[in-house]
Amino acid sequence: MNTWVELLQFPFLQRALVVGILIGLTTAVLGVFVTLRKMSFFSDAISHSALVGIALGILLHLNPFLAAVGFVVLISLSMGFVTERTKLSPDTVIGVFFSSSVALGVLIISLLKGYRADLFAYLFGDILAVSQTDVWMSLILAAAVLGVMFWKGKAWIRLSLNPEMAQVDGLRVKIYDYIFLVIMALTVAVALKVIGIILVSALVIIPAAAAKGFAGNFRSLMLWSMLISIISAVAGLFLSFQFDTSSGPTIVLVATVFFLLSFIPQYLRKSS
Amino acid sequence: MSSSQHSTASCPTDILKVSDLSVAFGDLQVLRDVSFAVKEGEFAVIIGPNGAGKSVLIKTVLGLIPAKSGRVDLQVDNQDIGYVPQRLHFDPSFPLTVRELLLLKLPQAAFWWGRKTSEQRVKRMLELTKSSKVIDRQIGKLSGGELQRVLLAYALVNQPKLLILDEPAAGVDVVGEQTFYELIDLVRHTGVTKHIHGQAKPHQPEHVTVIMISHDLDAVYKYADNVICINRQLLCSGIPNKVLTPTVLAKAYGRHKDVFHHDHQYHQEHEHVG
Repeated sequence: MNTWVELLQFPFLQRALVVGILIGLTTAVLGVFVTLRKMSFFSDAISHSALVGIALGILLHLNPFLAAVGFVVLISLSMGFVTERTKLSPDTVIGVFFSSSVALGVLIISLLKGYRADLFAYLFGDILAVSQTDVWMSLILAAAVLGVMFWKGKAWIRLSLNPEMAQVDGLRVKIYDYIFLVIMALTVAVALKVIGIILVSALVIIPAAAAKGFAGNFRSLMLWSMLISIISAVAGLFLSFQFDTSSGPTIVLVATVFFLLSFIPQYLRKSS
Repeated sequence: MSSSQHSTASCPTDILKVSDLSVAFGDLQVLRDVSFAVKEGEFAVIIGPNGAGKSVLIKTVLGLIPAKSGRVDLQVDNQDIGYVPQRLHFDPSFPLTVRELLLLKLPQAAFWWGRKTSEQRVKRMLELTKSSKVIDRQIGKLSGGELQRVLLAYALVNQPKLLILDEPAAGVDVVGEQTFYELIDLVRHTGVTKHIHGQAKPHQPEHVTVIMISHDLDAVYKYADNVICINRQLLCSGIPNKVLTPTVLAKAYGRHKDVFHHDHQYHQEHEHVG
């Protein structure tokens, strides 16, 4: 078995690691607000819509990653628009967009000729698939996501707490809601290559949910969420390389271990 | 919501003037031709039975719900309004502390890194609303009464000119409720700026205007300068002792609720209507 230091000499693993840390940061910060706003399934639907973008990218000989980014942004804005303009409940809108985009994605894939190993990588994540370009794109997307989340940090908290109070205070709630959807879409895009479409939203939700067990206030909630998310991403990457498993499920399972551990401080607080 | 910078009314001026306001949700008419005014410095209480449209009225005044017809003239900007809704509907596991909640209305840097002036202001506001003890508690772990006092502090922290409270005492026990009304009264008479700076600012109005929805008629008689009684339409508005006639109350609450106070004396039986 290679030592982890030796492993770090592989350029593909270095790239995966950089992307892993970026994913950890973005999903952690976003996840805190996604769980507070009860939008977990929104992120699930957004990530599944990436399948259409990737399939279309391959079919039309475009960059599948860029096609996916464009498509997830389009779908998340459409979901926001339909929820805002119709009387349909958000879970109905999510249900419709979720299943339709999976159906469309699978249909396009069936039009592709031959066996596509790279599609499996997009579904479950593959550290070998992370190119230098992907690293740069992830870096730009992560910087945008983190910048907006922290720059307008108080606004997101006020929106999660009570949108009406935020609106009376002069916050333009509708615009912020759409920005939030775009940020969700971009985060999904950052995590796409390493985690895979199926499990992206798990890494958005689980570290934030686990952090609630450890945190006593909002600032520590943020820090715990980031810590758990980065450790999950990095440890998951090494484990997936060591045991030759898909990177996405491995990362998500490490995060799940943290989620289970988060019950310990909650239990101790209750019993004391 | 419309607001104009200059007003022509005599002193004290109307801080809020609602004229022929109607609100409808589809075919359902919730408010019809409601008109009333609230003067600067007043403690105005909106009363009416459940489903009378009280919250809708407040939300329309605040611009959260569009009006079907009529006018709302509000003489203050949004940042000068402190609003507390009836319920927050937040996730109780949200680990936001009382300190963090109040910092949300102060400069961004203070929230993430802490700053002495902001910290001081938070502490003063919690002192004013008698909730200093809960500064490090999570808002989801407060009792109903504690949360109401903390939300009052939150509404007051950036020194509003107008305080709008949607049934702040709902779900709070009678003793807690009484304390809350006393607290509002205290805030009105001592002013907010004084509690922040140690002394009143020269250009800040010392008396905060309060508009509040209430179910408690006793409190209305004891504290309110102006009562607005509605049941889908305006039933009366003015000084409680003058306008709350048996006919008006019967119209609002039905015949069985005709036990009320005609005089300004405060009785101890704590009758509640609603």
